[in-house]
This record gives sequence, C-alpha cells and structure tokens, in this order.
Amino acid sequence: MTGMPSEDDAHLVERLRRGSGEAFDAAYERYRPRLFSFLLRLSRHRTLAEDLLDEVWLRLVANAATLRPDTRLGAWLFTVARNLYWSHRRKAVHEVEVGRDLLDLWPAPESWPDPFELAATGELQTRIERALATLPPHHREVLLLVGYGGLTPTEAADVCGITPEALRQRLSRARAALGERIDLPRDPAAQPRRFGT
Amino acid sequence: MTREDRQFDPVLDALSRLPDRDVSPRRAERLRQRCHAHLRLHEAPLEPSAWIRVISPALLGFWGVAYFFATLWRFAHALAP
Repeated sequence: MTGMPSEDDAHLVERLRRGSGEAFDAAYERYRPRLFSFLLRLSRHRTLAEDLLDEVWLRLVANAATLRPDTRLGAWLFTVARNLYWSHRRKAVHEVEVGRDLLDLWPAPESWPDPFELAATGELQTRIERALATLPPHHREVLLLVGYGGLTPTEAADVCGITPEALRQRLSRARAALGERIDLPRDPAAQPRRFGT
Repeated sequence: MTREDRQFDPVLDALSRLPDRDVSPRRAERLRQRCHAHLRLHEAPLEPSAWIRVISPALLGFWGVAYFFATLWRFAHALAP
C-alpha cells in the first residue's frame, strides 16, 4: 500500500502543499482507516487511538505547506502516528509503573478485544488480533507497519528510527513470536526469516 | 519486501488480511471539518481582486495616455505662432 510513493501520492502531496482541501479529503479517505487500525492495534485503547488519530491529521494540515515534494505520504503519516503513540506512552505514568516483563507476559485483558471480536470475520483474524495484543509494543509496531500497513522494511525502519538491519531482526523475532501464539505452521526453513527490502 | 514475501509467509499474509477499523462517521466528519478550517486559516493569500488585477491598471493606463496627449497638445499650442 505504501511501499512506493505512487503517482497519486506525489500529486496529493503537491496539492496538499498548496493547501488544497480536496487533496486533504483524498488523503483522509485513503489513509484514515489504516492509520486508525494501526493506532488501535498498537495502543489497544479505542479512545486513545481516536485522540491520536485526530492529532496525526491536525499535524498534517499544520505542516502541509512545508512537506517536501518527494514525501511518501503513507510513511509520513505512520511516522507521526507512531511517534505520537510512543510520546503518549512515555508520559503515561501508570504504564511506566508496570514493568516491561509484566507487560510482555500479560495476556490480553478479557474486556479488551470486544471491538475486534465483534467484527472479526474469521477465527484466524480473531486469533491474530488476540495474539497481537499480547506481544510487546515494539513487536506489535513492526508487524503492523510491515504486515498490515504494507510498508517495506526500509520504510518501517525509517518510521521506527532504527536501521534496516535492526528492523529486520526485530521483525523476525516478532514474526516468530506471533507465529507461535497463533499456532501457524513454522517457516519451512525453520529459522527466523530474513526479510529483504 | 515483495508481495511474494507476504504471500508465502503465513503470518504476514494473515496480518495483511486484517480488516480495517475506522472511527464513527460523525467523528470522522468532525475531524475533517477541523482540518479544513485549519487549512483555510493557513491557505495562501487570496487571489487579487478584479479591481487590483484589471480596473486599476486600466485607469492608470488611461490616465497616462490622456496625460501624454495633453502634454503634446500643450506643446503644440506653445509652438504655434
């Protein structure tokens, strides 16, 4: 989806730079559901995801005039969304008080998945939604960016502010962890996958 | 990562098939309106009005031409015996 800056995206960015409301609407319709889904699955909190989504789009219009012409809009939006989430997380005192190990081991709260469960169309999707929720946020974020958001590992590395190699390692670990939790067949190579760009 | 990577990786393939979620239509529309208001606030300066673009240069040109001919007329009269 956001793998390459499409012609459409380049045109959108150009029009956004000139303050076009129609360009904003096009970008909003194209990326809003993906961004919201990303934030919802990353934060596991609907109200927080909604607030962060508002902030992402307000940042876009505030910075529209200064976007570079070669901006990859999808990656830009995911970067802002991701940074806002981590910024919020750092500020959330109650989350700091919970040890990282505990978070890693915590099963998905019983009450959490209802928006997902209600709408999940298949058992596999439900299992994935649940399993994602039990992963540490660093793993969730790379899986969502690459698997769900459609970013390339290189783009996802830019979004996360890490090197592509570090991203690939993290993605391999996250993929293996998720695969175990949803009980999918292991990779034929039986080794952590190495993801290309 | 190529499409083939995803196709042959059951985890990534399953992730790519996760359904999109969205905010309520009312909330989405409210945010859209806020963003449009923000865009209007910061949009480029308005196009010059018709007065500035057409009428004032025309008046200025007319006045210049009239002044030129008046000067010629006065010069011709001054030279006349």
